[in-house]
Amino acid sequence: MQQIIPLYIDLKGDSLVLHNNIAGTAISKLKSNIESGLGCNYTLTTSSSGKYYLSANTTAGSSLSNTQMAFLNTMNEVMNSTSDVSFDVVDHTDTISQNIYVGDNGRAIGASATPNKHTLDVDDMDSFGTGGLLTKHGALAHEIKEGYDIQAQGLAPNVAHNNGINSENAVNGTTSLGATLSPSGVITIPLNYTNSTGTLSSKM
Amino acid sequence: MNKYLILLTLLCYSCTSSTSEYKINKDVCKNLNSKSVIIDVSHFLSYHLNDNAQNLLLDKNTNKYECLLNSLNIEDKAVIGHIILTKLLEPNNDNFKYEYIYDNDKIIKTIYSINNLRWSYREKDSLNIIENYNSKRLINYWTTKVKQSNNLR
Repeated sequence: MQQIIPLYIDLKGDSLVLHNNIAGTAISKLKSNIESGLGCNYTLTTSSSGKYYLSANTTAGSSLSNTQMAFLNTMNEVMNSTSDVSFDVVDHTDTISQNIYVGDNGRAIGASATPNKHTLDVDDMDSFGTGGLLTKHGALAHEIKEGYDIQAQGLAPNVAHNNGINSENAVNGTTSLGATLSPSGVITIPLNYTNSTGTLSSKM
Repeated sequence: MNKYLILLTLLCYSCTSSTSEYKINKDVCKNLNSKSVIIDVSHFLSYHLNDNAQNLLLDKNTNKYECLLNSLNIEDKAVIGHIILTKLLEPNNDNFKYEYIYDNDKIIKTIYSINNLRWSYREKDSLNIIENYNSKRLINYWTTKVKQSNNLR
């Protein structure tokens, strides 16, 4: 089912804050991830205040797939937040990336690699690709929603995480059933999809 | 002279550490509870042990097995007891698994499991609740494992 796209969201661009990595390479990858997740119907731009916003670059009547619409809904929440939602963005050129698995909300006391900062590892996300049951857009939607719920909504990390999973499910069109972490570092994720069940394994 | 000072310091340190080790062990036993297992929430969930539980895991005293087996009698302590015993005696089964329970499209509960023990955390009273908790079965299982490991020593 295709859905008509809203033409503009958050023209004020006053809530999404992104901090680039030292090499200055990570935000452009994140921008590419966001824009491809929206079918290239939107452009992520920096406002005069240095914050980020999306603007539609297609004509009225263009449409988004269910997956793209789910991703837009998540982006819309953070874009329209009344308070700032801030992310540090890193990639595999950053040493800290070795200790971040996709994202780190900074709230795991004693275990976070980036305490009190929500960090996104764009290269980890990109490794999910776009064609499988887990996608880079789903992973990003999870992190964006989790960060929004913690920072703007004041929700506990476990509640925000569950909401992040719901956003990821909506974007991926699957249902995450949890995960198994083996002592050797292999993560196995069981999923429900189109009335079937499958598992994906990856060594992090 | 410096060498003797260092030796003396080391001897004193070893005296105090062995004296306090026994005390720490007893305190750690008493303080085992749901807060001993900390679930770390990020993109994936993981867990770590708090300092008390970590001390017990690393403690060299063999009497810690008595403390761990006793902990299995109380539901809230049994989770951490089971986890430490798994790490000590069945490290290959130290797989951390979590499972989302949905109501329609919304996650309403997360069930954690390690080495076949499944539990969830109940927010209202901060307790770990074990699925089909059977302390006798748990104690029998681990008592056998502890005995087997003693025989191997």
